[in-house]
Amino acid sequence: MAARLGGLAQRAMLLEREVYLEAKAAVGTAREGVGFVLTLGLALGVMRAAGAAVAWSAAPESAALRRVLLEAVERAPLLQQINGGDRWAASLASWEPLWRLLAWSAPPPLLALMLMPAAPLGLLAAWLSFGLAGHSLAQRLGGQGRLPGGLHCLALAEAPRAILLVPILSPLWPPLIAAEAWVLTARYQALKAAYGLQGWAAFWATLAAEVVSLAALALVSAAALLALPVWRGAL
Amino acid sequence: MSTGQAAAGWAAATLQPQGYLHWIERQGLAAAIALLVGVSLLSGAAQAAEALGAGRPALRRAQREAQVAEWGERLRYAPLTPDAQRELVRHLQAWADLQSDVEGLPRPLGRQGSAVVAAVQHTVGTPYRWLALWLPYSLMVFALARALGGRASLPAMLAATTLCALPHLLDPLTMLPGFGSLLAPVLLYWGIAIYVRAVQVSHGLGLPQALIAALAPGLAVAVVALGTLAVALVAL
Repeated sequence: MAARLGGLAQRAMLLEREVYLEAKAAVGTAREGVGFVLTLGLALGVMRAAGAAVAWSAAPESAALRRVLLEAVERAPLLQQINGGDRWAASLASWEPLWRLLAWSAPPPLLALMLMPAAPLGLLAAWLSFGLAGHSLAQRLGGQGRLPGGLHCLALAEAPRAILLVPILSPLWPPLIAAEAWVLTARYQALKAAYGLQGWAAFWATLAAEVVSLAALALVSAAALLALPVWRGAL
Repeated sequence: MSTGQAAAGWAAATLQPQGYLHWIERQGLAAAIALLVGVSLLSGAAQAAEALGAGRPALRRAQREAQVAEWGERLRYAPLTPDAQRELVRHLQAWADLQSDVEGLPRPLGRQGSAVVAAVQHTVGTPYRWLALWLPYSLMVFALARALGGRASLPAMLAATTLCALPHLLDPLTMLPGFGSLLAPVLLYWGIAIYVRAVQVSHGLGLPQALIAALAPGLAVAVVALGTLAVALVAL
């Protein structure tokens, strides 16, 4: 099932249009796409946990880093010249979400293991949110296609995230930008194939669906970060 | 690397159209990405080796202070008032101090072990940093080139533009004393020339359109960044 999509993954990463047409023609059950995305997400979660252990072993302790950063903010020439700039360090010191994010950039191994299930669930949410937004926009822009076919092709478009399957990446933001840009390119090819869109229609559908999907995921993530007591306790 | 690849690479490096066409038609995106990753790994390994060789944090702090002093000298020739120059140097010094302070913090693996891990992370991370710059930028260029009448498919343009990595095969030479400040700008502008030529050949555009498509996104980003900096400096 998911293995069939896995077999097409390498060609999908190389943006071959035919491979997305093959995926559209061979629409399987919904479980196939879910299985592929969850398997990829699980592999990413395991690698992320291993990578976090490596990053943690070579990173300064988060409380010490926090102290150094706050001292630097206090001394920053720019803030010394702005009215009220001297209060920034105190404000930043009390802004807990920022320090939680900092701690998450090199989490201790136990916390990294706790965060492991977030990768497959996050990837599933990203795939579904882009799939629904992309389907709706593609239909409005004159595309012809059904949601299962679109989701099947878009599952394949998640394949470029496999470049993150390297456990020693730190800092993580350049690989994340690279992977997201690659996935976006693959999603463009997937929407073109799944809905028979022309180039510019596929371009606008991809761009708008990406904005809608990222905004929705950012809102949900921010709410989870601030609201869930389990994360607050862990950090 | 095969003889055909090497010949196509040399032709592309010397801006001959057949080099780009061979690369698009015969090599494809897989070989192109392999080239980008290979060259960036080499460049990252050279930088990591230099950082490892720089040694203890105290020595690196002194090197950073010397670097800030050198930037201060160069800024004297920039079209900025002496006050603005002093401000910029103060900011650069504060940033260098922060880097040195963070570097001096204790780590679970110790200083040596952490330095080795950081060197490996830097080397392995370099292809990702290049991809994170090249791919989003090339997507903007692709959209602009198509709007200007370009005909290339996305994989074809992406394959051709990876050839801009070729001059960076010489990046390790920039680590030699005295070579860096001369060679680095040459490699940068050579890479840009290859990128523009790749856009022109892959899309079948004229030189003016290729220049606009390849450079306009970068200029737009630079104008926004410089405008923001100018507004911030004026506000102070």
